[in-house]
Amino acid sequence: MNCQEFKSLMPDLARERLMEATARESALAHADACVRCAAQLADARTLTVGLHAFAAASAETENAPARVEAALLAAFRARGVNASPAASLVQMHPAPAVGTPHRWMRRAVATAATAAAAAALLVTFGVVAPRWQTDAPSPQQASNQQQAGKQLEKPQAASPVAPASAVAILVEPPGSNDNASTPPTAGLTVAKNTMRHSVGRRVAARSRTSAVVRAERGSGVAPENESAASGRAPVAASNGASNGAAAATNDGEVEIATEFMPLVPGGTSTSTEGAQLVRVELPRSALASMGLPLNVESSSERVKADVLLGEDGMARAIRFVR
Amino acid sequence: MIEAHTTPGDDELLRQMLAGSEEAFTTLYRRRQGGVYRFALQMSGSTAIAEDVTQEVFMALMREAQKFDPARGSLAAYLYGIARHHVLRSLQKDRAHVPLVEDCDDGEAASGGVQLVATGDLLSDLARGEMIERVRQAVLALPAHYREVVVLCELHEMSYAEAAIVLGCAVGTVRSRLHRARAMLVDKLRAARESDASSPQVNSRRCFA
Repeated sequence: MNCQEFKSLMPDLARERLMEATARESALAHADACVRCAAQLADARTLTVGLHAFAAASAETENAPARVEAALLAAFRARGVNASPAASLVQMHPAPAVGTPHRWMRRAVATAATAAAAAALLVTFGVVAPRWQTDAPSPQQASNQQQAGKQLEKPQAASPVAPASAVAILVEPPGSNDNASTPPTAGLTVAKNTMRHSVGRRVAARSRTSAVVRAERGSGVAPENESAASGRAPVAASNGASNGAAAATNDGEVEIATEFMPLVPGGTSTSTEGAQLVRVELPRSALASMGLPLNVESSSERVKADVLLGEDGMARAIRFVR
Repeated sequence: MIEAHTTPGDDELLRQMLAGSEEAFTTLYRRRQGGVYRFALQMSGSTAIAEDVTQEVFMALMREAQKFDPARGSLAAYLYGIARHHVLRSLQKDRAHVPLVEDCDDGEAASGGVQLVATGDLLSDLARGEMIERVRQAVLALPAHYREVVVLCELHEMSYAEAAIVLGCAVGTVRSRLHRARAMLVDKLRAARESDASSPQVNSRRCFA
């Protein structure tokens, strides 16, 4: 056996893999006779020891964190609750830094399934039509806009939502129906622009769920006081937004979100006590089922959304995030 | 009388999972998540990527379990294949790890064909933790297509055939890549060892007080 032949067998020899007996004997005999090949074999065996130690140490300590299992189980249950294909495309992510990690972990299992089901229902029934930029406003809207100016949206009279199913339907986007006497339409308004262009307002830092709402509240928005029955989404329509405060994720990235859209009457007036935001992902193509324009090139991408859960774990509102 | 307790295999658990059994899914997840997670972690060096990939893999399993064909390989290989796809996509996006060892097409070691004679144990004089960390860094420094064969065959103890299924290539390709990858690792570890050995001593004549 020459050095080249030995070199081809050396890795299996060093890894103590099954080999043909004669080949093994020849290789070992060559190593006994060739100092260079013997040294290389020694190095290869040492490498094997090191790799095994690495593998063993990794197996002892490295496993997926419990939150991954919780999120997957929530998604699995959601698939069982709503066996639509859309539901299977919902991917759960825990809201970044929601409360203390310990508190989030306690609630994640209980609330993640609710949020997943809510998001799945949104996709299935196409009940949400975020409206970030409307057409020319109606006279009523123009009047309201003049009154509100560019300041915070003021609390408005109740804008009743006509429930048409077990899932509350957002019949009017925030700010577009300030006249309680005007019955909301049962249809959905299609945004003129894609999400990419009709960006919602910037929100305050969202490092913690309750802190998010507190921050937004501190910027001038009081979800409990503002438009409690208007169906508006006061949380995002905030001074923080108009001041251009960008939402900073835990990773330091800037996110831009639409206003919150209520899923139930008064959904955006959810008390912040016990409120929780859960981040979900939907396929962008699902937006088409909501009547939103879709860029075909990006149809395979995903869009993020935050579902606002009340203390009872029920989904109250949703906003889309970019 | 001892009752035989048979643990359901992956295929059986998958069948039960498709029938809606949460327990089966949980069992399957707990059985396979470690391997998937560690594969992603060892490939990327990032716990965030590993966590995302693990979630993606099992979400894909939920969505597309019907695509798994037992005749083509084990479920584990199927999961690793999905994980590999997501890891490579993440690495492509992040480009977090630039390979420090150039790929050599001529089959020679990255040292340029010079066969160095080892002057001692590659990992001698290192505490276990240091040794493991040095090996980990050396693996991460490999180009991705060499790294993955090392991770699958050496760290996850896959056979050449199983790794070939995961990688979608021939057994011979797995074998040759592994051989080359090991040579690169030896060179890398030797270089690190020689760097340790030749650390410059403090020379008082060079101190400018």
